[in-house]
Amino acid sequence: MAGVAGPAAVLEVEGLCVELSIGGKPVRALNNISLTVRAGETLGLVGESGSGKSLTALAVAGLLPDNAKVIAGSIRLMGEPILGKSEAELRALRARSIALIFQNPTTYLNPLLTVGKQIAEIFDVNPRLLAADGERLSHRKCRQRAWRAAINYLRLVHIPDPERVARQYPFELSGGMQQRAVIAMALIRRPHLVIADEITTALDVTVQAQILRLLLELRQSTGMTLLLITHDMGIVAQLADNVAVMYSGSLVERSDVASLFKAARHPYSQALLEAVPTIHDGRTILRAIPGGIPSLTNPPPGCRFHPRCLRAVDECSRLKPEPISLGPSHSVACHLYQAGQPA
Amino acid sequence: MSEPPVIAVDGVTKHFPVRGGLFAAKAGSIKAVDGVGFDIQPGRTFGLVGESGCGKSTLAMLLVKLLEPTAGRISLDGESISDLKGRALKEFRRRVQLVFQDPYGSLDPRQRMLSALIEPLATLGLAASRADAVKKADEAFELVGLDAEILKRLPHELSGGQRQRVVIARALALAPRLMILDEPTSSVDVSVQAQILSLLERLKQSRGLTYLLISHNLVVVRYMSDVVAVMYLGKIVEMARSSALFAAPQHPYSVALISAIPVPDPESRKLAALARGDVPSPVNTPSGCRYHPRCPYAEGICRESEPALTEVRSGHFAACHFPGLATL
Amino acid sequence: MAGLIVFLSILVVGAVASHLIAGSVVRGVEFAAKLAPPDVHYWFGTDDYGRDLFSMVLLAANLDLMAALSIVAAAIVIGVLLGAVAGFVKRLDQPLMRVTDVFLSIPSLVLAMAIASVLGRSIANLSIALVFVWWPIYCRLMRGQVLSEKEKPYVKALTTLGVGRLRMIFRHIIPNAIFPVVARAAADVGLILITMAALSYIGFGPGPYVPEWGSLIAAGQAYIFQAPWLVVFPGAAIFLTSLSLNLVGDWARDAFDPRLRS
Repeated sequence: MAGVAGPAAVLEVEGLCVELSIGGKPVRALNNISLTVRAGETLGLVGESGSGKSLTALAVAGLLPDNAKVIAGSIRLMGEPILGKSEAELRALRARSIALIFQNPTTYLNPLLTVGKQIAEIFDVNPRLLAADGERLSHRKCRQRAWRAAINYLRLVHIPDPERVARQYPFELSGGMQQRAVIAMALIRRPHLVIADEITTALDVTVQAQILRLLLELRQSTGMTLLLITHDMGIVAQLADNVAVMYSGSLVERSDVASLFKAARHPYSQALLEAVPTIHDGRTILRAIPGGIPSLTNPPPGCRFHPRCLRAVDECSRLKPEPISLGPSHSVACHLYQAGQPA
Repeated sequence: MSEPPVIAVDGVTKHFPVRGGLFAAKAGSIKAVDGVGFDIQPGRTFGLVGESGCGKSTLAMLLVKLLEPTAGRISLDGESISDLKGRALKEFRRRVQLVFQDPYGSLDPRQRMLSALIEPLATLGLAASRADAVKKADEAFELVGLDAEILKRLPHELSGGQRQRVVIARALALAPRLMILDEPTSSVDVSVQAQILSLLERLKQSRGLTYLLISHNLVVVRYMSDVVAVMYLGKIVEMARSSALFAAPQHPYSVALISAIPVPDPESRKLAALARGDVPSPVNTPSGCRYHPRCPYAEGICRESEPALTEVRSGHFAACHFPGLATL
Repeated sequence: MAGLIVFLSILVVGAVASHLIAGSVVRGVEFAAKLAPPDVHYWFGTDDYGRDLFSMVLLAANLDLMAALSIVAAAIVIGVLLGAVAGFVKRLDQPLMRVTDVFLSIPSLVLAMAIASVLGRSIANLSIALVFVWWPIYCRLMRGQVLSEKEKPYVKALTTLGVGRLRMIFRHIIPNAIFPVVARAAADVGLILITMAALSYIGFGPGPYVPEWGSLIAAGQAYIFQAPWLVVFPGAAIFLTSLSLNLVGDWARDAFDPRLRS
């Protein structure tokens, strides 16, 4: 994807390899992950448990757990390398450029502060967001503007009666409202990249639809760049421009969303699409994928998907497939394909 | 239609008192299930859909007698289940089995799988001897496609998919009349969900089972069910044959539920959020039609009077003053 | 951790081996060797009656450990049974808890002293007194565990599988709920040891011809400047034993939980 003209790349991950120390032993949790997210684009990162999608997000945000080590690769945000930065630099970077939204909003919100106060607090740390350039504000004026801004942001995420909600504590809000508040908090700093990790998994279906619509709307109004992590192919189809499919720590396929759904190449991507019966076209036959997700501590040799793959060949159990480009925006890591020639 | 239904639920209500104040006086009640009625025919899958707080889990517990209804009647094969004791109760337990939502939680963490399977056979008097029980356990494991080696393990040593199969095997070993499946795929990965669903379908065909499938996942319900009922805040708001319901839902809530599912087709971007606001809690149910605060079509009458579940088309029931107004 | 179990085993073995040492050493008097400092012949020295302190400390080890373990065992059995009943049978919960409250509201040493003084001076009576002090703690703990365990989904699942109440309590709930009680008990053995020694020291323990670490300290106290070894060695024994028991308790807690996975 190098050399393609268009919007600047907000996030560039190249050959990222991360090792986890589990029970004292090193485990390869991420293997040669490369992806690019351009400004204004939504990249859907799809995978099941153990795929490494959340770990990738944490790596990008510089929030890898203590037992994780990056052993190869690079991550660049707005052209600036992330790996190798100190904790203080990372914190500043996160404050300015990246916003993270996770699955469980309750763990994100301080239960002892009202929602409005928590949002207003963000302005305390970034007073420049409240004032025009050069303007100096008194402490009281700051607080007033911060509160009003907090209410405006609550309104932006379609929280009804924002003045009242701002005075409420997180436990008084439903899951959907909490998630909206977290989204509002994420957007205030106008980050370059928003990372949303399974943000609707814990919500009811009708509330999920509201949050997804909100994301669509915000995308249009703010042009935000979104790294959307999910296991739900439906969400990907509705929101993403490009898709990256992960399996057991490796990127198995990268493509624009239309090509993936029309003509997925990797057997795992295909299987994932066929594993969910679609609701709108009659009684589909469900094609189950045999076997289970491989353990990270004792993975299958070669391509990690090969024990479950119906089209596996000899090479699959011996050699790990490298990503091959099948077109300007489509790459796949599978021995069934040759470079440039779709099988 | 001469056979009696396996389960007949009639006007079943379950209220939980809410206590408050200084002396824990009764301050109100949670109407978890409020006047629910339906039949399940033998060999069919009845799907019950709803979001959190709709009462579907409470209904499941009422059907297995973990809770007793505040009002109404539940009958198994034509006979009321309300006053069962001793042997009759054990016989009932054998015939109606509930596969719980969280397979990990529903296994004793200290019990090995063989013991977990054998125990109910012993307590319900279904095995002549231990050897007989072990044989039945082996058979059940085979039916669900689990390796006999798993019998020696503890719950935390199994994957989510394996645990789900174990609890299904445990229920199957009793040769029940009705199997209630409460969110059978919520705790497993997508790639494993399909396996579990296929397994359940196969078992239904080969053993002539009857299922009550409870799920918030409409895709799963549609795939498996013959008849579907949509629940909202303790009431059934729509009930019809599966194909009819998904083709032409009559209640605005059903329409909202169905259109809320993100379609895995990028060419067809029609994600609709038709239900306004949040899923309410059953403590303060709205007046009139319970769905009216969220309904884009609500009128005055919806705030004042609660619509009854009426047959709006042949075999298709909806509880709405304006059925068919909302469309997909 | 393994090292501490080893230490404890040595202690126990030593205590058992002390049976081989003539018990008569306690009654033997040898004024010629009285208050002798530790040397090759008398490893721990002698007391004012000329008795070999080493033998007495070992004999006392046997006594103290056996007593402490029996106390804990008895307290667990009583506490767990009553706690499980209180947690499982709603009607009996309040009455049982009130009884427990009565015992818990009296300071432990006072309660022990009261009971011991009624029953008379002996190691057995002291042990009984301490059981009275300790069982309410385990009862409370067990009850709380049973209450929370009762609500778990597997209990509901087992009910639908025909498991009756009695079987549920004994085969499922108690084994799962008992764990914190056992962990606490393992740590308590050390505390009980110290309490016993303390009571013995103030005079509620067995008489002068029964070797017990606490009473050894009490007896040796009078000679603390002339013959400090009389206080040091029994004191060190108490300290080391209860320390190792605490560590064993920690280890047991971590090692025996089946739910702990990698």
